[in-house]
Amino acid sequence: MSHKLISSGVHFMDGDRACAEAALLAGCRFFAGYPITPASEIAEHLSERLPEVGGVFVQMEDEIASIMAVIGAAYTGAKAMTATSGPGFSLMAESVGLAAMTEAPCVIVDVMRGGPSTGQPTMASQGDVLQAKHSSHGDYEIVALAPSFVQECFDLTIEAFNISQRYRVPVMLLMDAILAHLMERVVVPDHEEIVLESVKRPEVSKAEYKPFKADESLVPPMAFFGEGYRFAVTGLTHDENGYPRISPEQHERLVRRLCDKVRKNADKIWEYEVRDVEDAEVLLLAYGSMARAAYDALERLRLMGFKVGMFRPVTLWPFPKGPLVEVARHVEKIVVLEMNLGQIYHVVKEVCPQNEVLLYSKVGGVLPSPRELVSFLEGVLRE
Amino acid sequence: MSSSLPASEEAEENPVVVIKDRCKGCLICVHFCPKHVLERGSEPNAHGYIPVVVKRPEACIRCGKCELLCPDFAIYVKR
Amino acid sequence: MSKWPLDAYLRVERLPTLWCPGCGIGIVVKALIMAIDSAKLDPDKIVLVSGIGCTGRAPGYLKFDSFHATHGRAIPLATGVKLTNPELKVVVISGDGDLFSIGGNHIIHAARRNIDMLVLCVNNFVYGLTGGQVAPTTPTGAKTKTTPLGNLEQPFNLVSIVATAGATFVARWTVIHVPQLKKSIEKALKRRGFSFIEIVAPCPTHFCRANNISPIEALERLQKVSEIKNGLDPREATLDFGSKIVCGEFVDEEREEYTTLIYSLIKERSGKDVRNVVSA
Repeated sequence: MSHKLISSGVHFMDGDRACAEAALLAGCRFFAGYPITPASEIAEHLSERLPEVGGVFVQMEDEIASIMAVIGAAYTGAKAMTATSGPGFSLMAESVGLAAMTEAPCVIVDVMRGGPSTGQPTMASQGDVLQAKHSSHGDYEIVALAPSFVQECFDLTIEAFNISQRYRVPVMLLMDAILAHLMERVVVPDHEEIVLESVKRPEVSKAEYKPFKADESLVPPMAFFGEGYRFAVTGLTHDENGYPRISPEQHERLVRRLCDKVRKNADKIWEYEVRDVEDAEVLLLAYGSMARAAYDALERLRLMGFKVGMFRPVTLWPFPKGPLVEVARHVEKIVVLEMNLGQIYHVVKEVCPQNEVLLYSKVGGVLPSPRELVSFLEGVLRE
Repeated sequence: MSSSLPASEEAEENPVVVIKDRCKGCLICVHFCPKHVLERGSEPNAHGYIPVVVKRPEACIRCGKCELLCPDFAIYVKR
Repeated sequence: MSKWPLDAYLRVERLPTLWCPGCGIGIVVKALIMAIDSAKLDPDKIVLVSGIGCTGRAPGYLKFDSFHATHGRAIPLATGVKLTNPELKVVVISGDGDLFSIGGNHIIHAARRNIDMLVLCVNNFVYGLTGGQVAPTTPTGAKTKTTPLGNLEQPFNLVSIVATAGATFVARWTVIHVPQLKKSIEKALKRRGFSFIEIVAPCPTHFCRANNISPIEALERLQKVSEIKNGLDPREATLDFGSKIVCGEFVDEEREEYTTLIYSLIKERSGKDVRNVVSA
């Protein structure tokens, strides 16, 4: 690997920078983006670093152009990424659907801020979580990862690239305004230890290649433009050749495969962390920056003698329902803590019908103070 | 030799070939041919369109206008 | 078995095309493959990108790598393709509504960057595929499905817009100017920079029928009112379907091309002669 990539060892940096450097280590050599608080620094950092490592950086005229350029780059064989925040992600909605429909591997970073609309450009939220799963119309699946530490902003960016290549899906990294500009210790592993994945390539002849024909893996091998395969791609419902075919049978076949390739592999994609659940009676469930506050509350409550544990989903989509159900079996109540008015809360309610599921919402752009959070949870625990 | 039946596409004396299955009978070639070589046909093709026919092959001057103006890759002057 | 001379470039199993009898899009497609053939380009290195509309269906009939993208967004996708592998020849083929209404922002920036690609814009005066609604190119007064009482708006002069935005090759032809169109396409394919060719092809089904002119009469009108003025300032290149359509190659100049600039910067900063960013 190039000496121009971030050296292995201990570094001190903020989330935006960690994400940018990790992308380069993951093999990202194409970034198209548009300025938006609090994600601009990812673009700024890459505008300098990408040419250094032999990659292309372009600031496009808007977010729609950015994600479209990323899709074009992906189909031409680049590992490609864009980074934005809520308003920009809203603009990208149609294109996310196109990426899913055409199975273009790509990484979309959404550094969440206060919404809706222009909202709070410099404050954090977790308000885009449901939107991440359903930003576009129709049935499709994406994968979304939520880092809670700057180290995870680094690690999960690499993971995002790998997952996107493996399943040919758009993968989102859901950061927030806190992590973006928070400086923390990041340990970069030895480069040789980092496992990188790339799309499966065609094994048949150019004449036999069908761009959307998949085997039992449900993921079609991918040729790139310019290699002589001369294949067609369309956002219309299509057949194995990539030609428009919109019959009811074909549409069902295609849409089910696009969803199944993630759903049937969900248990291989799930990532989560549990703490203190062995004897827990109440389970905290939090992700992203909110998990940091929840971990702190967890410690304090344990010291106060409460039997409380925590489940932290790292993949928000597909939601790690299997592991959660396992853990939730032994608890009575689950308290979902989110920086929104209830998004993952609804998923937990659906997935854990045997539990009483409560919601702690903190909107306003900042994390709850320890006192605020412990006081609320104490109330719940004492019931 | 002129006839109201379409000349066989491969026939020696026929300088212009109509690919019947592609022709949509739009009649652009009929109208723009300077020598009135082509005319509207009467037999529908497999797609329900009525392809044009070569009515007066002997009048063809091989100007290529039909080939140039056809939108359907359905007519060409034999090289 | 009859074979049209350039069948090798067509996905013949998908013919006949879905376009209406008399629609000029097929003529544009033909001019494109004639030019590609004449220029002896490597077909493996050509990438077609299109948007939504009747013209957007063109790549599906051609035997090249292609991407039929979302409405208005062909050009940014094409930008991603070109910047990733500069050795590819990128041609965007789309309609007036796709490129200048919803896609308007993208085309002016691509022209401003002078990124190496050819944009073929078929101007049929309406949104055809959706049934004939008014477009930014619809003549004032014309009847369409959304201007049943006559269009109140003034149409764009497409060549003027792209030229002003910075395009370095700008031309306009109509579908009856096939040899000239082929020649301009070939010239554009052989040069480096943002090239734009508008091709006037009134929609036979929705524009013509709604305005009491037959498709053949429309083509005869094109023949009658068009005049060729190469080198004319595009702002003066009138497009009035009733009285005057000025055709020709209006702009043909050299300016630093975007992909070259990007890769020069990469070479300078990385110390390596990077040819593309396709992952190994």
